[in-house]
Amino acid sequence: MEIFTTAIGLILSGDKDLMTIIALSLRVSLSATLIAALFAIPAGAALAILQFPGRRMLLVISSAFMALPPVVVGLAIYLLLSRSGPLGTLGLLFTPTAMIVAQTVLIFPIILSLTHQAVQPLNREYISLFNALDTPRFLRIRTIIWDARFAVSVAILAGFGRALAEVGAVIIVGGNINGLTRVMTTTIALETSKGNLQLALALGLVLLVIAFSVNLLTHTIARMGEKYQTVRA
Amino acid sequence: MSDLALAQAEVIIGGEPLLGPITLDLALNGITATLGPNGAGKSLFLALCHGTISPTNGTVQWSGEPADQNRATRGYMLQTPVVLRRTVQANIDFALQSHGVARADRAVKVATALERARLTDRANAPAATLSGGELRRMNLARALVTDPNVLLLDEPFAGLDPAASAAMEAIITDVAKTTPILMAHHDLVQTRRMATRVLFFTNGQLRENALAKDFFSNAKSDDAVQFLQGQLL
Repeated sequence: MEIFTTAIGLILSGDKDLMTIIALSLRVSLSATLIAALFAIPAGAALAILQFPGRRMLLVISSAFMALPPVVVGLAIYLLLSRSGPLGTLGLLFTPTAMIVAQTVLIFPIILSLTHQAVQPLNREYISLFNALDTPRFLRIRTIIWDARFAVSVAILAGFGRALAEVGAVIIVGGNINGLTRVMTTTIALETSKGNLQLALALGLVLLVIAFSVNLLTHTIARMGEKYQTVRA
Repeated sequence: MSDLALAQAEVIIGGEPLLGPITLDLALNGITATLGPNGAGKSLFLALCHGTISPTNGTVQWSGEPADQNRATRGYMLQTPVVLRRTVQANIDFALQSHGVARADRAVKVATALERARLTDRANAPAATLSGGELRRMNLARALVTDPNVLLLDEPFAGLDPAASAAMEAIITDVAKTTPILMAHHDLVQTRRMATRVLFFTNGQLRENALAKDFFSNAKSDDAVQFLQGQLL
């Protein structure tokens, strides 16, 4: 039990190293979520609205990539960004930017697939009206995103949760450099292997609290959407 | 823009002839009602006229232009109301948005349409909370908010109780003073009261095209005579 008190004490004392790690974690994962969402949401909705050859194939690939192992993404980005890789000249390897890139790639298919699942039933419901009004495609995409906004927010939060919790990708492309690319999950992995359990546990608690808050927010948002749902058949 | 012309127009789906061939020249005014039993092709005829379904053979034109190219000049009320997950007001505004009406002009038009459909006091309610009758009136408002040249109404009275039906009839009769209406309906009494012209269908064929008073006093086809006598077709 003593270890818990030490861990909580560490959080409450506002330990500088701890705060740096938490801040970087949030910065990397929030940036990745923002960038991924910016592209994945319109793409997911477009895949519901537009009909073109290969559309179904893209959806299958996207949902298969939802279960992409983070280490594989990490490795792929590592190969791209390493000195001898095609993007090596950018010098991004072992920087927070590389970590953002890796997490963006990791969660893009998650947000895309979940967005598509959220808007697809709406499009089926709305399509006869869209056709009757001859609604332009761009407006159709905007409409189903907006009317599914609560479910789409849940997709974003799912992406954020995944980004924040993964270790494999950031540890490979970030390198877990103290004070520079060390985030919550990589610190936990490192400190646990070193036997420094207080810090690992403190970070674990912070991660749990964030995960819990994200879930709470998800449920609240989903409930907010209910009053606009049609209940009658 | 209220001159409808069909030339040998035919709808065949999956090898099954569902409607036509129909040849028809009509300058719409007042209320033109398509009558006939369920499955006669009334709704399909309306969709064909609006251009949401393309003819397999033949042509459908409004004032010399193919029907699918000038949908925005018409208002179309769907048989199954589509409810956008928004307020009543926003649902009606969506038709204007679809037709690219400038934001500044929209509020006044929406307010007028709400008033005509007697929904002003429900303007800010989520559309999902409307009653069946209100929902139909919202759909009517959405069809007439764009100041169409012609209104196509697909079974506007379906599922309404007598009071709601009377309210709907009053609104439609009022609208018909300024805008020609093409309406699918199956109720004889109401059609007799409202219609200026009747298009009678059975089994996907147009059997009669006559002024309402002639149709009701002196129907020519056997099917129409039986239908008027209340026999099952």
